[in-house]
Amino acid sequence: MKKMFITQEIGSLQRPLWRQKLGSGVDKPTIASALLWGERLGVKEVGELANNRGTGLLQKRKELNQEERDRIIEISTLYAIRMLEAAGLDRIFNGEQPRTEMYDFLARYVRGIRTAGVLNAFDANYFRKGITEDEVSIIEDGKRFFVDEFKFVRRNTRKVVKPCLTGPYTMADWSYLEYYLGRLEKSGVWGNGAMNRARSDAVLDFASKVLNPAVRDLAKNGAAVIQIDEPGAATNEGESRLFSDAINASFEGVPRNVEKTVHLCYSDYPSLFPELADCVADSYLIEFTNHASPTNFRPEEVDPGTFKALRLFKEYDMHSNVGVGVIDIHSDLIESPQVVRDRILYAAKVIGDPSLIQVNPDCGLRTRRWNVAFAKLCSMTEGAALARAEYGGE
Amino acid sequence: MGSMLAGISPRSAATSRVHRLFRDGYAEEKQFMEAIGRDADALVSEQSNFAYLSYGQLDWLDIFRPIARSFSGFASRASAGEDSVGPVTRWFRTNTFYRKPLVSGKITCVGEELAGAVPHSKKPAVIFLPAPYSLSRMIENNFYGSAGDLAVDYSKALSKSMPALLRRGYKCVLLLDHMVGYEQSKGTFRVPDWYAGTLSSIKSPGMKVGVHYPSSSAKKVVPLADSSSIDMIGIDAVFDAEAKVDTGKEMMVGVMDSTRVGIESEKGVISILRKVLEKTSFSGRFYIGPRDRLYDVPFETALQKIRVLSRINGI
Repeated sequence: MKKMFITQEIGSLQRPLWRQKLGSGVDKPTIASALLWGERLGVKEVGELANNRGTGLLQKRKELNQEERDRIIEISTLYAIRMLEAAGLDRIFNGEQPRTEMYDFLARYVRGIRTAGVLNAFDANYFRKGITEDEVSIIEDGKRFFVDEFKFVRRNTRKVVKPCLTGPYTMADWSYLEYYLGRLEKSGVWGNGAMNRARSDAVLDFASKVLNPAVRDLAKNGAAVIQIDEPGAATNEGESRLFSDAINASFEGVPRNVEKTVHLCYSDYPSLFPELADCVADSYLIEFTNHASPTNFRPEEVDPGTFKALRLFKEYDMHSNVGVGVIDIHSDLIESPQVVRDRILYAAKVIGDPSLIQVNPDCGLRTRRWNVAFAKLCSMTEGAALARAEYGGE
Repeated sequence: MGSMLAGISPRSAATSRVHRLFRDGYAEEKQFMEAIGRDADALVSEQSNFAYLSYGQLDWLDIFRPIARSFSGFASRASAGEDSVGPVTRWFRTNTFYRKPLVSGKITCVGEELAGAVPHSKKPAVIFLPAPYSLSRMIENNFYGSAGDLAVDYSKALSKSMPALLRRGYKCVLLLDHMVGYEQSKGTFRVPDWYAGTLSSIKSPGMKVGVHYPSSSAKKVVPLADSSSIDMIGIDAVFDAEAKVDTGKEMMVGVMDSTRVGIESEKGVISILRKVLEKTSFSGRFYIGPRDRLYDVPFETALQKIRVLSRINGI
């Protein structure tokens, strides 16, 4: 029987403190923290970071060579895997430890794009924005990167592995589309019409020439669930057809038995309907908690747009899974398991079929320190268990 | 003719690093503010021949934050740090966000609350603030019976803030009314009867007050502010270079694309400007600037765009 309210993370975790400090000098408290987390999570490789002989990677006085730097990434990936396992999640990935940032890491593997600079998203969150200088397409190293990353996690866990990739709409929306605009302007198309065409051309190129080859390779290599992250969805109203077409193009040729998942957050979800109903995705993981109080759950605090979206999933008879974000990733306050339970039960009631509800944080937990992220995830899995108990499950 | 910016500016990559370290507890606030100061100095030095200078309000985490943090009437939600201001909310059609302020009481202020915005120059400066209409539509109102009552009180509070801003060196307030163009594009904008009145109430001797309408059709927005007593109307000539405008106010013409990273040629900008001026009738001075905030381009690009404006200003 299918497990109810399966739990999963969305993607990113902060780099462990010891990895963050690598560039600026690792002090004794940092090493102690690395050892503490390593032992707490049962990371067998912790001795490679620090040991009594003083030969650990964090104890080296000279600069690390490439092989050592690669090993650091592998060990921080193992820390992330063990953390997500220890929190009791059903589906995990690698906390995006081998990646820089969700846009930037993929842009590095895309032909036709270069980084233009850093922009502020909000608070202390920044992102690199790229500029298209040619038609975009993934390079071979990019496809290899995704498969290697997936295989590494699969080798190191018994949990269901859910690789995630930044989606085509978001990649295009977060890029300056100078090439696509310039191409149109050269042919005499200007103004808002040119911008709309450029956006459409770029989104569909990202879908068919960047995402789809990577997604197909992941499926070919055994990924049972694949997540496309689209935080940029609904940025421009009136592009919901384009959005759906891009998701479908990204998943083109992926076998039916692979669960195709899309993550959406901080967006005007209802504006994606009715076209979203034409998407081939099996699951939509959405942010749900941002607008609500982190300390107690009151249905009236659910953002009206989010509530409406839940109703629309039901109204359009989509039968897709809906992953409900029950953890606010912008707050250090730890949600109680009871609040998590209540959010799940509320969403289940609105959707009308509890078997379609999945459970996740609003977005990646990269915004929070490890102790906070871990506590939040533990609360999430406990809350999901409480919700299952309400339905007589374990 | 003079030049001025049209909104808050981006921070440099170096400052963004310090900001993240500060957030994570690995840097002091002093280090962050020093980094902000360096960026502000660089921005201001590029605007030496501008009519009004802006330090980019680089220490403002968004256009609402200092208001939500310091004016009475704004609530803190049960959360920590910046999260207590309100939920993360998308800033129009961008990948940037603001924290939606929560109004739980009557909006008032002492008058000194915005004086922390240091202009980084002794020359006349401009400060960018949310226009009453946009603020009323972009916050969560849990107190007022109508958006109009809220906008009226907010306007009064801004008016009360003018003397302190004047003492700080601000000679111009540019109210940003993004919501008008956004709603017009969706066909949902209806002019409230209080619209012009709230603009008119924001005034102080010696302070020039303007309202700017990014991503809007000029012919639709100019009449909105024309009947108010404000001094200046800003239009987005990149979005709409074809509109014929007739106003008794001074004009701010957004001629530089702040949504694209390419650097405009002086010739290109002048040609847009000429096109607008041929069809425009206004009184007094006019100013040129970006169509919107430069926040949506990287810091170095913003500096380059400012340099182009500065050169045109000199022609």
